[in-house]
Amino acid sequence: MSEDIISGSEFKTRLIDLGYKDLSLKELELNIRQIYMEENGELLEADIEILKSSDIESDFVKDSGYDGIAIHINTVEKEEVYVISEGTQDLPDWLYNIKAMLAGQTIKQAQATDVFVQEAKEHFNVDDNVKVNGLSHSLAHNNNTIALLSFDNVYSVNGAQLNYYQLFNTDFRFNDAVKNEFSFNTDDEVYNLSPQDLHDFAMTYYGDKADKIDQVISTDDPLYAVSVVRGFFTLGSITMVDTNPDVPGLRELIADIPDDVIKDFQELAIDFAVASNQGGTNEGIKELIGIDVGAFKDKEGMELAGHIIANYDTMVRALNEKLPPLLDRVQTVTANSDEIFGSLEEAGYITERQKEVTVDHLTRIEKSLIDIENILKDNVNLRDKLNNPFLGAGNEIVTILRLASNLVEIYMSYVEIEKTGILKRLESIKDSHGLQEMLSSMSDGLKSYIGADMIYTSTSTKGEPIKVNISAALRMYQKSIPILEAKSTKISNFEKAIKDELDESYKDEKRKVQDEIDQVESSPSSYRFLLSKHGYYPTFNKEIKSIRVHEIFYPLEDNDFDEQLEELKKSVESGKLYIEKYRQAIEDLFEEEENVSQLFDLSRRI
Amino acid sequence: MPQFTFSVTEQLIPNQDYTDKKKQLRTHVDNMRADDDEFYVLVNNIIVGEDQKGKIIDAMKKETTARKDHDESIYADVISKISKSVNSFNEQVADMKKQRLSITYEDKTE
Amino acid sequence: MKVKFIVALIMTIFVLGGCAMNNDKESKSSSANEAKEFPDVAAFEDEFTREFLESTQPTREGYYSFLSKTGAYKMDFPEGMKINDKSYSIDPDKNSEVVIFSSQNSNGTFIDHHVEYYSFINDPQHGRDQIEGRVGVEIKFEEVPSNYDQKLEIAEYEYENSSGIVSLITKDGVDGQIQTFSSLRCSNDVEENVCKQQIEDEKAEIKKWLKSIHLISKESE
Repeated sequence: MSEDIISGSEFKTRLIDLGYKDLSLKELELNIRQIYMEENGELLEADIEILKSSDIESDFVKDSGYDGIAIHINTVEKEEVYVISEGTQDLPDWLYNIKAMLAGQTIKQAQATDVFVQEAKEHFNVDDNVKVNGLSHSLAHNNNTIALLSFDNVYSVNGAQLNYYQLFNTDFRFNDAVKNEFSFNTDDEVYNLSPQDLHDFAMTYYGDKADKIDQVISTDDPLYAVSVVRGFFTLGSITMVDTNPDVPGLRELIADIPDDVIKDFQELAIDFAVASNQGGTNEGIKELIGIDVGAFKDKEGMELAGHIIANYDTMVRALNEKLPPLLDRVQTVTANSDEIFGSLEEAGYITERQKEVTVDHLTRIEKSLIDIENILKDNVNLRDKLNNPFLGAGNEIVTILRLASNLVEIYMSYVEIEKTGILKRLESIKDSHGLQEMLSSMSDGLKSYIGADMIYTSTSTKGEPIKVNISAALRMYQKSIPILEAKSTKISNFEKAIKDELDESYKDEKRKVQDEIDQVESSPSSYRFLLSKHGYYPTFNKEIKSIRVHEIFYPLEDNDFDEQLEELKKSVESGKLYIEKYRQAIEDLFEEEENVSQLFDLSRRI
Repeated sequence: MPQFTFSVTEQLIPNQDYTDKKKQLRTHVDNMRADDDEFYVLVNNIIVGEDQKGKIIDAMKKETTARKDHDESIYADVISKISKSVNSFNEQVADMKKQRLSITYEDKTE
Repeated sequence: MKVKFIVALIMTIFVLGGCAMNNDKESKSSSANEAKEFPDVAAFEDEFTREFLESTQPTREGYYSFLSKTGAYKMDFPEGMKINDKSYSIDPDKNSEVVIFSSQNSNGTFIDHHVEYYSFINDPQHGRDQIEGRVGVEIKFEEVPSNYDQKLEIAEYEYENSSGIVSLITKDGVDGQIQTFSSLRCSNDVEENVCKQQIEDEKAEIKKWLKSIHLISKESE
């Protein structure tokens, strides 16, 4: 079998990355051609047709949340379809999907993937002999492998792995095979089987499917870390890449943390993450404790008391509801915070100081929560008295202030934790799931990647090797001419505007004056007021017989922009020269790489 | 009846302020600048990282800076020219609106 | 906002870690007292299954009225079966719902039903293709009259040790479709001939039961 039109991990990964960008069909096509040229050093001589799942008539797209792009590439000798399926980007969606997937439940998006592929094939008018390649990242890998009947092969980066409970419920041959193998009769018994046995059986059962799957996985990918959890199995030919050599990856860390701690942490996390993702820190904390601390954290004394009293009823209601479960979970986490944050520190994800501050403030938060709980316990009757506007008794005011100060403490502790930069520090974890870190670690000789751009490293000059973003250079070379042309047009517009705003406008004004002169000369009697204006009293006995205007019009001056326009036009011309110089400079850096010059030439032919 | 003639300079049309034209014209300059910005964004991504050194790199950086500075000085010149032109336009139009008149009237009492 | 996302992400890791255990720990605490008020059948004994049942009055012998949580369809629910809450799923926007229920006390035949509703799949051909794909063998759909104003297509398949009936339910003017998968198998101690007969009987019963599943049009809600 001859090679695919799109080959190489780098190309495929960059293509998947394109899927995340919000590009028009035209832009997508140009980008595909550009990447092809950069990767292969030649133009893609083929017709390209693209279909976005969002442009499909069927409602399933928007309802299922599936997001994909199908690309039909037709060289004369070869015809192929590539389908890029995107992982879910929206965080709450993510959490939902992961939860659902873990329970082995959702096949909704896999169904949608199938439908999209079928629709795309109809749209492109291709038959079943045309190879359909699936490209996916993150959760889309799961969808694509389940929907494998639509694909001839699947290539994925940092994919969410298959789950055998999920497959048990969706693939009925597998379901039957599992029942035969482990001699049980109904679906619900599957949960009683040994996960290891089920895992091993799934691996064997789907062995032939594995031939069609190629995966590249970062050892630092958090999603890879969690595939250690029951239910998952990793299928296909796997290439592991250490994309962040500074840290060991999270997989081992997770194994170290006790299950019940994880569970409590998880619940805190979902509440906080979803809320703060939507509304910031304040919302996050509000979701956890039920109170908008941001609204009063800067108030003091009577003003603070006033605010609390005004909102006391809502606050106590919220605390009553949120506090007990919250305290339970926080206590589990604080009891294990040395272990959680200690292992993160050991692994180099956070610094010692970050660990210490975080652990310290988590303990303080716990203390404040306990104090709040005690206040609520000691004042069971407080709420009844709330309906009485005359709260009266001083000790209640004291209680209220104690409550408020605890809430502010919690808020401030959170701010302290945030200030250490621990959250930023953990960014590398997120990055390790992304495509760009993966691309960065895919380097081949002088070629490497930053973002989704191709980088060349020159060693021909003395000293440090020099990195040049070839993708950016080609973009510059390609797009700068249209930009300069646009600027030329704008200079012409400016020239015209000068004519309109000055010369033409001056003529208009002149015409108006001329009109007024005609008016004055043709009906002098209407201008009697000129007699009094100029002191010819009394006026009743005088009549204007004629008015003659000795008009003088000078030509407009100071309207000559020739010099400036000349300069502007020259700048456009020198811009073209500058681009060529830049090209030459880059070619000089990569003297030995003949294809750089060729790439520049080709880039303008896309 | 006797006729008399006197001459005065009269404002024929009320004055108007044309300063707004500066803004109109400057918009065009802003548009050109936007194109330049787009251009330099493309250029600035080429060399990876700020601190790379080397003969060729330095030369290109210098060239880019010189070009930018030159463009900026052209724009500054254009802007000041716009300002001057519109001010002058204002004055010239105001002057044009004032013209010399000879008014001839008849005195009926004599 | 970016930072929040990261926090969320690292926490997600723990989220993931926790989920599977979550399932292990959930216990079905069906209180004996409550159960007494309900018919003495497997479906009502199970707290989770009970949430779907509309009435303690049977619709016909052996079946109770089931209303899906998406509100998209109703059906008769077999009294001897129980919905597995671990495999139940409904998405937050109510665009899909998967219910899996299995026989509890068997007279020798074991049945699992999967009733899956997808609001976003309209084309019946897609539905048939997907069902065939999931079953993994060639099947032939036949339209059978339904009790309701909708289209019911049924197909059968045989595996080595089990049999299955699948169906597709669509309705003109109503978005979405229902795909059902029923698999039947005999326990090991049943003789082959007996098993065959039992399966045939059950299949007939399932075909009758499938007619009770009906999509609810939005207008009639």
